[in-house]
Amino acid sequence: MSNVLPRSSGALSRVSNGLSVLGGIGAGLAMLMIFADVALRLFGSQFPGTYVATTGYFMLMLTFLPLVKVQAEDKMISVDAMYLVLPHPVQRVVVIVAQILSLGTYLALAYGTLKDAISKTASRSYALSGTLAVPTWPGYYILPLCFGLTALVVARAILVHRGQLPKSNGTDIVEASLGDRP
Amino acid sequence: MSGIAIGISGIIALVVLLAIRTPVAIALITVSFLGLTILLDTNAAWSILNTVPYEFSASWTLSAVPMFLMMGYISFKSKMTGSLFDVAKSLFSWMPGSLAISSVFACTGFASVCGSSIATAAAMGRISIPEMVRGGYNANIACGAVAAGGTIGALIPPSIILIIYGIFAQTSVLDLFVGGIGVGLLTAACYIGAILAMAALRPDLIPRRLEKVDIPPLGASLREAAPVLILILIIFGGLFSGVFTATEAGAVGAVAAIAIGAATRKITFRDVVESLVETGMTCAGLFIIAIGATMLTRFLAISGTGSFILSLVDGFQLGYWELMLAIILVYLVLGMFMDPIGCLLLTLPIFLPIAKVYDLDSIWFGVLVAKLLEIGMITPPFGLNVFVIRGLVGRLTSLTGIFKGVVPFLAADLVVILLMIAVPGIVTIWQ
Repeated sequence: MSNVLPRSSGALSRVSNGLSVLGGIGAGLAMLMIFADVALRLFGSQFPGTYVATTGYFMLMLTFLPLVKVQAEDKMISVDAMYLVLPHPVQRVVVIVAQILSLGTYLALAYGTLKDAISKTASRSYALSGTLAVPTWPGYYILPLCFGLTALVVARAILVHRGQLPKSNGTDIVEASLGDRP
Repeated sequence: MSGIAIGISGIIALVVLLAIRTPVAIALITVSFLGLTILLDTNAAWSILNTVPYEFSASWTLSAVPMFLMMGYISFKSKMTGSLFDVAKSLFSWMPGSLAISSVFACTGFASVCGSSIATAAAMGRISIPEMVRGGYNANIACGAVAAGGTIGALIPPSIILIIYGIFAQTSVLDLFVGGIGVGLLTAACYIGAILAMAALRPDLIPRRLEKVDIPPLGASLREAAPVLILILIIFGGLFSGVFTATEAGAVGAVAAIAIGAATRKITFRDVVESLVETGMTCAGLFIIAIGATMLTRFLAISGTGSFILSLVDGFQLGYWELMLAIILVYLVLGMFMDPIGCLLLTLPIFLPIAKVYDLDSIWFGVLVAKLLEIGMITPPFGLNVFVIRGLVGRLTSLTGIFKGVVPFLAADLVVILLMIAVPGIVTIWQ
């Protein structure tokens, strides 16, 4: 499997990049729809479905789709203080332990949210926007998809990197917070 | 094993997992899920795990966070800070330490469209530190002033920390924003006091007179700053007049920031796309922790550990000042090692019930916690604002040097904290 996973790294990287862009598109759509709703309110009207689309789709897109890339780039928030003073071999062990825990957690989340999505599909869940019934069940599938892919990213990290962190350090947290710093 | 024993074991396991660099979100979710499985049964624990991620993230109130983050990223990329610094220089050039004062003033202004401590420090540091050094300022103090000034970004609305606190404490985000303005301005005033004191006592660090620095005419700098001032007016006017909700203010502000950036040709399409992607990345990293914190809250409540900790604190018969001292110590220590929002989400399940038992005003408590968390941004060993400034200034000074330069501003922060505790009305009077 470890031979297969490195070859898949390019594909996984493209998928995680693509999903993070889709997450950004979700954020942009929410921004535009809410802005349009506020603007139309000035004329006594409103943009239909703003609340349902924002909560039932856009928020899920921007919360979960970029998670794959956040994990792939080791930008999950963690506490480094103790880790940094550990001897190198121990560092590798604790990294693997943390990754195994992460793998288990993401798999559990993928399984659990998939079950939830299937049950919402069965009941054809929807939300009312005025008199319009907007289906919300498709949005539930964003969660298991992202948790499953994130689990795949962690599995790859365990098998390929074997306890080595990607070349990142504290300053990367800063980069993550700032984006492309001018 | 009793529920409380399971809960306490869970907290210990959480601390161990965090110490071995397990991501905060994973540690919170793992401990809560396993704890709930032992406490209740497998089906009940799965039911919570299945539903919390969706229930938490499909929230209208929460959508204010990405909207304001987006506005902050776009404002940051539009380089709206330079004009604010020029306005401040024109206004304060007659004062001793005027460049450092202008930096703090401009940080406060940029905070109104940004909401992030790090982005405020980075945006301002790039412009004001070179000018201060050229004007004869000690490099450490110049860097310290901007690193500290950046922390105002998380106090003045729109503050991401205050929005997330408001969601967890189920309290009005607008009231938190109002409280944040008071403490943000008080912090700026205390920083200016520290600068004036240094200029008076240590002219070798902060020169009393300005040399080698161009001061633009006030009218010209105001014209240059007009777009960012309009943006501030739109957000604050809409929010506090009740025209917008927080989410709507964020969305309108983000669209306005793009429009201003495009009209002034300071932002490209690529910048906008990058801002959107960064917004998603930041939200993903934060919200997964918040999902874990929501699960931990349920675990502590169901196990009875929350009530146990409350009775324990009650048993100590702590007075108001003793309780405050304990809270300050916990946040200052955690803030030294943790990201502020991670620290906030980790501690709220325990501290919010304590604040309720002691009848502390939830708005005041939220602003106090935000202030304490922001102090962690400039304290060693992991002061993120200091790291940002270090990254900007190259070989001008060392990390240790910047931490030294921050010390006078930490003293000013201490004054702010003492005032907040002694006179809670500073925060609550505006509600």
